[in-house]
Amino acid sequence: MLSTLIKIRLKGMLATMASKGKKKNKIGKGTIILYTLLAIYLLGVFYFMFASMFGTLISSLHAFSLEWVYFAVVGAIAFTLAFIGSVFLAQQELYNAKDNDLLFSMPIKKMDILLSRVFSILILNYVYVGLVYIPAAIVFIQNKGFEFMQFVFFTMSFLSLPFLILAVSCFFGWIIANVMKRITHKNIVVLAMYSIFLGGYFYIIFAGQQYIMEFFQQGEKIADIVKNVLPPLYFMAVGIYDVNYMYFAIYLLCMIIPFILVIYVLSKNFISLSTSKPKTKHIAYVEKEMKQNSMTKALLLRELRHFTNNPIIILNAAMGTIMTLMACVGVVYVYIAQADMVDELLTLVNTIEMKEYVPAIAILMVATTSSVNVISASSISLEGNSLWILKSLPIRVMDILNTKLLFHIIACIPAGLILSIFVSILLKLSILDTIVVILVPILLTLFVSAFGLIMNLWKPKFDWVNENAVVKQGMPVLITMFSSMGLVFLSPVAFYQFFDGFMNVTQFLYLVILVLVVVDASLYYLINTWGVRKFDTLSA
Amino acid sequence: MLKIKNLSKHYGDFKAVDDLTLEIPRGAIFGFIGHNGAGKTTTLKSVAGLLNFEQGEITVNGMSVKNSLESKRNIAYIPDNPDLYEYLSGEKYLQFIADVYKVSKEDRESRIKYYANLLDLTKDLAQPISAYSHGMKQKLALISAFIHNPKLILMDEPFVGLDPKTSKALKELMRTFCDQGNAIFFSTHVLEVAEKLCDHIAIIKKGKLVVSGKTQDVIGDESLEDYFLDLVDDHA
Repeated sequence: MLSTLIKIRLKGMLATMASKGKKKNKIGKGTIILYTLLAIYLLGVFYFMFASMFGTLISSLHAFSLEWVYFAVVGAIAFTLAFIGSVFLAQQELYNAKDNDLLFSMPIKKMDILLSRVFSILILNYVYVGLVYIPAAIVFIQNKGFEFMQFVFFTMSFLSLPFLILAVSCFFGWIIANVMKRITHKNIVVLAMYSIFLGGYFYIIFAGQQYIMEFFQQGEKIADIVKNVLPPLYFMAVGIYDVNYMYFAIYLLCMIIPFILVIYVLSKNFISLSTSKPKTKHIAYVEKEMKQNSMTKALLLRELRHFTNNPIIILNAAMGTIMTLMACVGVVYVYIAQADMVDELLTLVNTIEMKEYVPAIAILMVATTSSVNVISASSISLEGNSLWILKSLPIRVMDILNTKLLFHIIACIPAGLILSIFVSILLKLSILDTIVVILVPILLTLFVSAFGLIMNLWKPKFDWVNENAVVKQGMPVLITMFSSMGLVFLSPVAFYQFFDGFMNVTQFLYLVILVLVVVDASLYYLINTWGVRKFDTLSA
Repeated sequence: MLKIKNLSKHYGDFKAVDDLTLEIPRGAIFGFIGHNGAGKTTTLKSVAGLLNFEQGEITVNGMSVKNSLESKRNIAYIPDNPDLYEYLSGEKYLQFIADVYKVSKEDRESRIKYYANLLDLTKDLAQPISAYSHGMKQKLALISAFIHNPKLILMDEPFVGLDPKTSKALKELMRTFCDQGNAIFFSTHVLEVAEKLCDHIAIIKKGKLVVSGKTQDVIGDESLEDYFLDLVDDHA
């Protein structure tokens, strides 16, 4: 029975990501090709990110003869990435599945149901851990090379580490489910909890560099630090590097025992937590004067209420706006506390005649955060089974689509505009440069909103199990996010590869503006022609 | 009021509706009866503008439902499973529908008050729809259908999930609505209700219309249940 349940879950996971092909329940070839390209792109991005970090790490550790620490750091990074990636999903997967009532009414062991749900989180953890372990293995092979048993232990650590991550994320999911059962203002609490996780994540990302430097200044004390702070990773790292069977066996126990314990704890109240209704306070209806809104306002309010109703949608679809606001705070802090450093930096830039690069760097800062906003890319799929409402009402399809674009723009552009102005002030840019720094991210946001909507019209998914899966794993969301991020990161590469010889950075930025205006106009035309016809054919 | 002429609709190789022709007159409660998968929902969805169809023509008050906002303004549709916006409260949902149909402030206030009281939903209007039971969602969908004073209401299994008191209220509401010169076209499996309530009935089987007419003319002295079972067996 467990294997049947796992198969069903795997099919469900695939179905969430992909649209059906022409044959019922079959995933189309185009979808497979698209996902393969996305996977290659994702692997490439993570490879370059981690490979450079691990390359520096291994050479630094070699100087101290502390190569074994390499595996501890790899393990720690893999753990952090996978934990952050799966902790938000664990509670949803474990307790909020739509098939709860069906499965619990059938003669199936509750442990089988629990394990089948745990399995889907485990798969996700393997993906995250693989994103770190594959570049780590390649870098190690390039710099030192594995002995046979070292490679065997390294592979075993890859296979076993997700179990500990799973145990910790499931444990957090269990805590969240227990808390949710007892509170009324669920959304606020969830948003606060996730914001804390997110804040911690960014703190680690930004402050991590400094800690790593301090970490290496400790020299021989590193062994003690790893051993005391992260004992399982110490046993794993020494076990792999020295091919120490005893240490590696201890590490394996550290992975498996917590997993068994957590599963035992979870199984104790699995059914009661899964079937419990969230505590809701009855809101008394008070008759009050009603307002008549215009069609556009009514549609916009509807989008806003949907968007703000689920913190997961906010955190995933509007991550860029959150990051932009955080960046605004960071810029204000630098302006107040580090003004001298900025002055020195700008003097240096002027001295080495690189002043024209400053607006481009400012644009990259703002555009990077703007590019990860993908609100429109899931806005069609999120209509779900309620699509019939919009389709049966006397609303022009053009108005529906334009409202979705407008909501994306309203949710993203103000924060980006503020950051553009703050950065321009910080970097003492001229009026003309400031206009360029404002204009490019705005045009990029218009591009992302239109491109995301087109992707979602092209590959909508209405039969989702929960909204979170649509905004986290939906194909239109992934394609839009990686395309817009790729556009931002590939623009400087394109300049150096193809344009550096015959135009300067300022001219290149004007060209970017021109290209974006043309592309944006073309996409908006496409939405109002093909998009309208496509929406007409959609049915949930 | 509603004219369906030679309607055909395919799902791939499957012909869900086959050359269907029907006319629903003003003032009529028109029952649409058939087995599961007979083509009732497909027909209703085609009339509501939810489905594109390959052949045929559907007009409401002389206006084609294809790409016509004007015909949609005269229609209200209630599906068999009312999946409403779970992120809105009942009141906010009704406000949204009223905004779309440009219902004046005064009219929406009075109609919401009237229908919510009639269907016993007033005390729950501030609750999020996600907290509603199936029956409460059905009541809300009914209020949203009546809020803009349509000329034609399409209902797919409207009595499913309603308690006896609300069922009775709905039947009275349907009668009053049609007596004002409007029309209701609804599908149902509850044949006793159809027999008592409907002025006209149509029976559909495998996408084809089997019989249509005034209820008494169609069933004669038989009960609708016996007539329906005999008819579908004869055509098996």
